[in-house]
Amino acid sequence: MKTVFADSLIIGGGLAGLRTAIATRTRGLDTIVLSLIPAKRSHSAAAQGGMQGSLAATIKGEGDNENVHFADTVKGSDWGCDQQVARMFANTAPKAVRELATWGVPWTRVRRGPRQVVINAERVTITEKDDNHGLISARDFGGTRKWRTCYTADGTGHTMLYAVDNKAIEFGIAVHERKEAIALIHDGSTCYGAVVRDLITGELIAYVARATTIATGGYGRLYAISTNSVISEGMGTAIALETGVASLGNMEAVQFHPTAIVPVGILTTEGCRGDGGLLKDKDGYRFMPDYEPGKKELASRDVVSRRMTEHMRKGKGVASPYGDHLWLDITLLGKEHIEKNLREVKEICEYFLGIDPVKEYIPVRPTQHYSMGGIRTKPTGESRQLSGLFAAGEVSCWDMHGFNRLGGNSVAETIVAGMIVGEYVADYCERSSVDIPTSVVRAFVMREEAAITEIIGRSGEDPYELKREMQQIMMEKVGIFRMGSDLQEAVDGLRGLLLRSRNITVRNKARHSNPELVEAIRVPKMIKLALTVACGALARTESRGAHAREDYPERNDRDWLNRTLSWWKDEKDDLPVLEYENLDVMSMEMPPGTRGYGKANMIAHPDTEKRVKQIEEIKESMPNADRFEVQRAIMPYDLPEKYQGKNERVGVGFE
Amino acid sequence: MCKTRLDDLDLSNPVVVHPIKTFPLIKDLVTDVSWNFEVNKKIKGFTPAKDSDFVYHQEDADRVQEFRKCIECFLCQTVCQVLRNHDGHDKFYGPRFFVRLAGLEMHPLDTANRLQEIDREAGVFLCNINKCCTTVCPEDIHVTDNAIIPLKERVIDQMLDPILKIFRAIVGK
Ligand SMILES: Cc1cc2nc3c(=O)[nH]c(=O)nc-3n(C[C@H](O)[C@H](O)[C@H](O)COP(=O)(O)OP(=O)(O)OC[C@H]3O[C@@H](n4cnc5c(N)ncnc54)[C@H](O)[C@@H]3O)c2cc1C
Ligand code: SF4
Ligand code: SF4
Repeated sequence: MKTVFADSLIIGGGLAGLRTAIATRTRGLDTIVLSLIPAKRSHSAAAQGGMQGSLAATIKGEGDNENVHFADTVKGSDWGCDQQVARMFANTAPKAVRELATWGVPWTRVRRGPRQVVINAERVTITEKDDNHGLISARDFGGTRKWRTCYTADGTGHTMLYAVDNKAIEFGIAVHERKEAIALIHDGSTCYGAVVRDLITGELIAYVARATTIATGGYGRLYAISTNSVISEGMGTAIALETGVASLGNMEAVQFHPTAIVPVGILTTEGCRGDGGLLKDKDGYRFMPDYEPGKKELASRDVVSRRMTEHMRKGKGVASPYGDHLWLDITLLGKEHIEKNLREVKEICEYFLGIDPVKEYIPVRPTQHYSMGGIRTKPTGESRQLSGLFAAGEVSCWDMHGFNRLGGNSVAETIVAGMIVGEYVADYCERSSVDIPTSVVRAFVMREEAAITEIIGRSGEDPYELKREMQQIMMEKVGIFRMGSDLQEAVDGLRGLLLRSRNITVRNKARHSNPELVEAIRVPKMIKLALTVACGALARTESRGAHAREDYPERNDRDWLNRTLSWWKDEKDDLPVLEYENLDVMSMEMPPGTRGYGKANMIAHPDTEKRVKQIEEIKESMPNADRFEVQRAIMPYDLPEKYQGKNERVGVGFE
Repeated sequence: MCKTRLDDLDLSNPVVVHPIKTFPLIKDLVTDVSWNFEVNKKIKGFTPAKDSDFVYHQEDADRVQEFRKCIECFLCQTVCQVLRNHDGHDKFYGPRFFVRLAGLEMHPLDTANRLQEIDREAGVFLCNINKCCTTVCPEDIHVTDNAIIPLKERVIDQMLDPILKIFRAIVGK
């Protein structure tokens, strides 16, 4: 049995994995990163629009700070997030943007003087202050009160990933590529690493570590059409689920992005609407102001996606051979702006649609985009059940996004989580040792080996067919609008697929470089994840954020202000076990309120009024305190010491 | 290549695809490009001054923002005659890495000096400016005009610097 030892094992070489690796390496720990592909090809490279951090340097960001960013994030989550984590995040995000500047990310800068921008379909002139000339600029994004999204012209995720990967190379961090973690090694209470399959040779290797961090991104490819890359199949989430010990959180919280192109589902960034682009229907009519007179096209993503779907249901969609769609109009932004700040969008339109978005409208439709759910952890990033197991980035549910994530908050989360969770991983490594018997490690490797031998040996189900059926069920029955009856059918259908997947096989019997075998190992895991999504959605009889039940349209804080936890307790089970974790209103900094979209339709939590009053009293009792002292009195939270400091902003210093 | 559209090809004849030639073949169309990753490791990363305030102007950002578009597809490395025909792997970094080096050298806040490396280890003067790299770059980076030629100029400027100083001293400028 080949065994590799490390202090800190990181599964995933995207932004979150690499930043966590840098944190543990900087603390002197032997760190290894695993990745399916070269790290620079990770899905993080696809992020176009930008990264949120309240630097407040552009005139349209004036007055922004951690408080505003925190409030936007909580509202965006439809009060589903962990507010302490949202605070940790909002305080660290500006530090993360600035750290990346010191690593060479060429953020777009503020230029003094007047410039033309498009706001609400009109060209207006804004004037940037002299003092702010040369500071990091920001653009507008959905669901935010200030312009807060920092960017590098276009292709922000790509620029970030290259900078962070080159930094990891400088630190001498080993990235083991073309390696897939297929199971976690644990003893029921502590995690000691992973069983890893070499995708070229087919060999199984035991990676044994003091701490294991999963940073494998989202599970978008459970759906047939997704903006996610083809490797975003949720394998990290699945191997945590398969421990039977670690729980997943809010798996039903799946985001649909309003503007992916039709039919292929490639994303056009929210920056299109942030910079002034409009949504139009088959008559060329701009419909969003009718539904959301306040934020219009820049309402939160879940809201815009639903409004678009509603509008198409009214027969206002544009018919096409690939189903109805709507138009995204960015022609009003002008050629120069598009070619510079929306270049990737232009190229996608040219290559995949054969159109020029400078002159023509872009066909778009809401499409699966982001996984809010994932491995449930504490605010430190550590699993609540398996010590030594951590999660960071899109794969985790620590839980910053609740039921809806704001654009630009995700790449920010990857870096922030890497910074914060990395420190807690290092703390954990320093106080623990690997004391697992080799026989246990061997047993895990043998079990996986035996399973693969069985797959190759038998005759049975085709992995590609099972996957196709699963993706179709998820598309049709677990989508933007959900109904109890559809969800029940989805659960039944997926359960049938799960039973069939126990008999999965391959036609190509090679153990090495065999993509079919890779599918056969992954598909049963994917079906289990799909079941956690569908079961969670069926059980949650309310509508919150991206989870919209047509049969239960109200947000029900009285009965559902909680987080769904799911387990796969026994390998032989054919459904996940669901439990719920209540959110404590009495410790919230922002008690549940309305998000300000449509007409408020909600059932209040009995504690809400009490908490609102209590917070008012706290505020009144400290009339001379500054905003930091007030915040601490209302909801204290923890952060690694090095990130506790205040953030400086032009004009206001550290206020 | 990656962005070739089928409707731009003559489909009455079979379309031939073959693996890139400059790097060793693993299997089918897959080649081993790991040499590039080793070259990348040799380059000194972004080095700002310790006391930098990290403020700079968009005009300066514009220049390096072009280089950051590179996706490391290595098409330029594949077509470059120095690597392809003259097997210059041990004396030439290749166009991709001149793009990275240019992005670092031209970053307004970078303080490292890589010019000697660019001249010697990276072998910038082996490039004969035939622009094959620019032609194939799917990200439309002007590899030769905006990265390689300015790097050559910088190396020459530095070599001439002592001479220029003397010259300036004499003419009093
Ligand atoms: C098209 C698109 C545009 C986006 N734009 C933005 C934006 O503008 N702003 C924003 O904030 N967010 C954006 N997002 C979201 C954001 O990009 C992602 O959430 C984020 O990059 C995820 O990073 P990550 O590090 O968690 O995971 P990833 O970048 O997905 O990395 C996962 C890593 O895990 C590895 N891996 C996976 N499984 C295994 C396994 N079993 N074993 C070993 N390794 C494994 C992979 O090889 C990879 O290295 C966008 C997303 C998409 C799809
Ligand atoms: S211009 Fe120079 S670097 Fe580019 S392909 Fe030609 S010789 Fe190679
Ligand atoms: S061809 Fe262009 S994108 Fe590809 S590696 Fe070379 S410079 Fe980078």
